[in-house]
Amino acid sequence: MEIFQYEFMINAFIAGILIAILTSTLSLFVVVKRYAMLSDALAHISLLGVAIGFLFQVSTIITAIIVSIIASIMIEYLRSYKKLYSDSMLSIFLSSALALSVIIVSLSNSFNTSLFDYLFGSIVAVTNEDILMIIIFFVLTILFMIVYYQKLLLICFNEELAISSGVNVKFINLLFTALIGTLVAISIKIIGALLIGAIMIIPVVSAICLRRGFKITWILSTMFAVLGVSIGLVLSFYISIPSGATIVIVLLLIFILTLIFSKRSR
Amino acid sequence: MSKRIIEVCNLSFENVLTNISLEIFEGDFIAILGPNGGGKSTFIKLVLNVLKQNSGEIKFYENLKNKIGYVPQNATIVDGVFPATVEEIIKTAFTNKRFFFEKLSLEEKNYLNFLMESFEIMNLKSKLFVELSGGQKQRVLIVRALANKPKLLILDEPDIGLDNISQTKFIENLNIINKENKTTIIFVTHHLGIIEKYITKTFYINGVLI
Repeated sequence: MEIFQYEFMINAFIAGILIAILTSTLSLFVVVKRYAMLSDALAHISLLGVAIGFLFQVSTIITAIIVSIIASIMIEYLRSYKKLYSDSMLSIFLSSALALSVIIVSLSNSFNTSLFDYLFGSIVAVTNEDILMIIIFFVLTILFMIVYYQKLLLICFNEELAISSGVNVKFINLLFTALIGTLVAISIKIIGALLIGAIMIIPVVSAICLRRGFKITWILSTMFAVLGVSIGLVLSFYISIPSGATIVIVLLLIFILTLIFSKRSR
Repeated sequence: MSKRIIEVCNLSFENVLTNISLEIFEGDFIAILGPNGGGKSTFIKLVLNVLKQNSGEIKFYENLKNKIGYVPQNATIVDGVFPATVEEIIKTAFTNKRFFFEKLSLEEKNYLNFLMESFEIMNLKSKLFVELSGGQKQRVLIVRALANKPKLLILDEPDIGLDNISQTKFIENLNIINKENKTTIIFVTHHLGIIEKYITKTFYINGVLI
């Protein structure tokens, strides 16, 4: 196929598919916790990290990861210790981070195409360094899931039951939110801050529509995410349209199909 | 003489509980009675470390980590789209000793099957938990609480939603577990009803221990 003759497209496929697996895996727990807005909030918080990177002329991905993790820990602290409304709190974080990042970027005189790239992402500009970072994070996430899958499922089902079973709920929630923060920070350069929420949430909600068990929902959402990324990339290559947006539209079509299928099968 | 497993000393929590002191021994079948808002569930949550007391102490004389079975009040109220099957919910009982790939032992599987048969939920195991009726959900949570052969079983109004036949069977099963395995049972309820003949102790809590 012509598409695979270009190294940048091969990189795009590798990065895209790995991110698709990661987002659908972690987002399943985000969605069932009714915490879907977390991904959007963290995406905008990552932008703040990017802005700080611009300001100090250092690696934007590293600053985005650090800011994202710090914000994740703060969000989890406020949610579990201060018992604040999750959605309102995330809104505050989201708008404040966006405002701060705009101010910082304008101060550093880089509010041009650079920030635009991070808003909409550029999956075809994936570097080998990006892929290495994604692979390291992929391995960490898989290890986390092997150890904590059952505990996380129980926490999502009922936190009281988890505590009574001796699960360290606060620690796992903190670790999990930090992972989500890192995932978003790694992904925004590729998927874009405005689109990452969609790729994290749509495949999971599509799979949940089919009303299967937890593991099957996980497998289905991963399949949908990988399918959406692959079809989106191919379409964007041949029709010459933005890759991130195309992926989101393909995922949306998958969601509509699962909605129709789930209504028919009931 | 039975072994003491928990000692509660002068436990107080906000304005709900004041100076609760009591002892729990291995093999006890305890009923905790009291009016709505009297602090029964709060007391249970303090014992389970779900809540932190303002003052007082709860001493455990035995390591009960992973050995507590619990059926919380209102745990049947779950988000309507939560995509887990009955079997997946029950298997979370093994949370603290199972990695993702680890399978249950043959003995654990057999015991689970025995429990599912006893509580008549075997035919529901592939169904989504959220699709069950209130009584069926309650039976699933009871099986989950028993799956790990707990040393301490805490049940917060577990008979709500169960029909009379299921209730009688459930209480008889509890009595067998209490006698045969020496499982300590704490049963929170508004009325003694059919458990009266099996219980060994009753605590009445209404802000204070009466």
